[in-house]
Amino acid sequence: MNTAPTEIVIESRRRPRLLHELGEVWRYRELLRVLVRRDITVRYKETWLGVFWAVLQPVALMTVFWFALGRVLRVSTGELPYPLFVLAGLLPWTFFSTAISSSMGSLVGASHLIQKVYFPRLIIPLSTLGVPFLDFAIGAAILAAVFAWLKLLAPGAMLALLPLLLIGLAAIALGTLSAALAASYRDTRHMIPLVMQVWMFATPVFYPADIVVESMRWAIDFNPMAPLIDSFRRALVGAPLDWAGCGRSGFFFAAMLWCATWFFMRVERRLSDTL
Amino acid sequence: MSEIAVSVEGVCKEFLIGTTPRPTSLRDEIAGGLRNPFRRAVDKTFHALRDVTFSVRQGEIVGICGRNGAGKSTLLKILSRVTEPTRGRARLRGRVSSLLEVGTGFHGDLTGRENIFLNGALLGMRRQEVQARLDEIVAFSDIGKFLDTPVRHYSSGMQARLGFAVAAHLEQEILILDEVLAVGDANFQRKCLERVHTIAGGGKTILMVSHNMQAIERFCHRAVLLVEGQLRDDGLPRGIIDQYYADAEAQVQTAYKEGDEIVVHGSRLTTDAGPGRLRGLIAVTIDLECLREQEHLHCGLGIYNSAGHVLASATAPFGPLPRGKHRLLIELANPGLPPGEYSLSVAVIRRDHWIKLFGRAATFRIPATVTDDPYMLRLQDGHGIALEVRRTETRAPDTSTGGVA
Repeated sequence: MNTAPTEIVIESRRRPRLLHELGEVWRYRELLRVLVRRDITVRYKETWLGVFWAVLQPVALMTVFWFALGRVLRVSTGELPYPLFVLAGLLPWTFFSTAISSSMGSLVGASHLIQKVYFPRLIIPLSTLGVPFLDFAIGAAILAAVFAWLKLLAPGAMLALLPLLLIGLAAIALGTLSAALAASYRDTRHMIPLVMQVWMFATPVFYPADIVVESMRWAIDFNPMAPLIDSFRRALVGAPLDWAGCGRSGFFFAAMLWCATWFFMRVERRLSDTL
Repeated sequence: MSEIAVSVEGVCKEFLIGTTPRPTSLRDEIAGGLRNPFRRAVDKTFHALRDVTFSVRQGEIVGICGRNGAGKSTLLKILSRVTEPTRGRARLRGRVSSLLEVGTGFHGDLTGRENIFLNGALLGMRRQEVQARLDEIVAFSDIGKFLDTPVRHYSSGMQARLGFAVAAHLEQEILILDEVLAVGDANFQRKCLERVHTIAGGGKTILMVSHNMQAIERFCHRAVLLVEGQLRDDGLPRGIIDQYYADAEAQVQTAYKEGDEIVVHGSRLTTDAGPGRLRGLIAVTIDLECLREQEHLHCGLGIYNSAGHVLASATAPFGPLPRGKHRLLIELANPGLPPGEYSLSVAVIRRDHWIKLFGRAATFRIPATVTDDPYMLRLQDGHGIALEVRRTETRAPDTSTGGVA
């Protein structure tokens, strides 16, 4: 095969080599693919209702909010019926939050692999994003069909892919961070679900951003997820996107991803000794 | 054969061990930081490897020998890039396939086929490369019709075969094996070793850890001996194995005390065919001191095979021993053990009290006898005790008894 085999140098490295690590992730992309496939196969292999379970969670939450806010408090969502309004926010949010909670435990769950085989460890939290994404895609396909059937789907609905892409970026950034945190501190397991819960309420998932009272506006303005979820939903019905907000969020999560990867690599060095 | 494939240069590995456990909760980290903001907790360091240096040429099979805890596995983990060295460096020329455990990463719910691709990807192979080798892997692992059955229905032997087959059939230049041959039956072990030999013949480099000294002697071109994290010696397997046994031949120096009756000052195992090698006689010497006169004293001895089953045992009685120091000598005759590795346990028994001396730490082996008879050579290769043939006879067919030809 290769006439000049590559030389691998193994030594103690104080400073993480970010680019080298990303190159390794690329070289091991086959592993990423296989792990994603594994998780999906395992998930759908023995549950006949795999797709059903994927859709059930956001639908159940939607029903709860529909009763609480739509029927009891009568929150106004304009021309979009409240259940659809909630679902269009819950689907991307559920993807984001399940992606983070599954990345969080991923390193600890893969400790047997980490102790025995070399591969760029970033693959592990990345590979856990496959299942939440597939669940999201199934839910989104159903949602789009319902929108289209009710003639609510805007012709430019494909614009929703842009905020979706940024939500993916956010999921990778926070997933990487929480995986590294959970491998270092046990408390992370209790902290992250709490943060995610509070965060959901601070994000216009099940209420429109414009009903928030002036004194609480800051919670939305400083929330990098708010413009993404809002814009995703707006794109579906053809309302103008919050371009500036999406830009700020994109910048914020890109910076976060950089920091998270750096922190992850610091944790990675001593992972097999401490897990 | 001349190019260096693996070079290990002054590799050290230190672990911090437990006086103060690593902070695993934020609270501890914060509290620790507040208490001593400028000082890091001082832990005891354990030196798993100290300044290990050696190199391996391309196409060589090198065995790594050493007792439990000598640092063999740590060394392989560093070479497999699972853990970092604390100091020093290692260079590997070529891609590495390491098998630190058979079947790592197997997922019980996936089929054999899916697991082959998963395992290949873990070893850094692309799908096409694994696909190209699939038939060979399946043939070697002998899983045949179970290829599309979930691995959780496999026997442990089948899983072991599959795991080894994947690692041993990929296009890597360097193969690292840790005690992989300890699993599976004798037949499979032989098959693995033959495969290892074939791979090395194809110009690949192999590093293996094994407690099976016969395998190391037969299959390795060279061996290195690790003792307490240091490289004790590097050379031909024969010499290294002799040293390993000399090292393993237990010599208990610490004094054992049993109540206020007996103190054992030391004990020693010697064998009659050089260090750790036995042909006819094992001699055990025990230096002890009776603090009071003892009416009866027994020594219990047991011989175990490498799987840990007791094969033979004896008790040696000693008569009344006056107060003072004594040297007890026990000679045991080889009960007809076939060539192989054994360990001996020795205990001093006073009434119901046992003082264990060797545990099962003292190992020795019975080497294969040198003979020119090709059939005899095959017999010694793991076929048990050579039976004594008293008489042979050839008869004409279909005749009743008595018609000796």
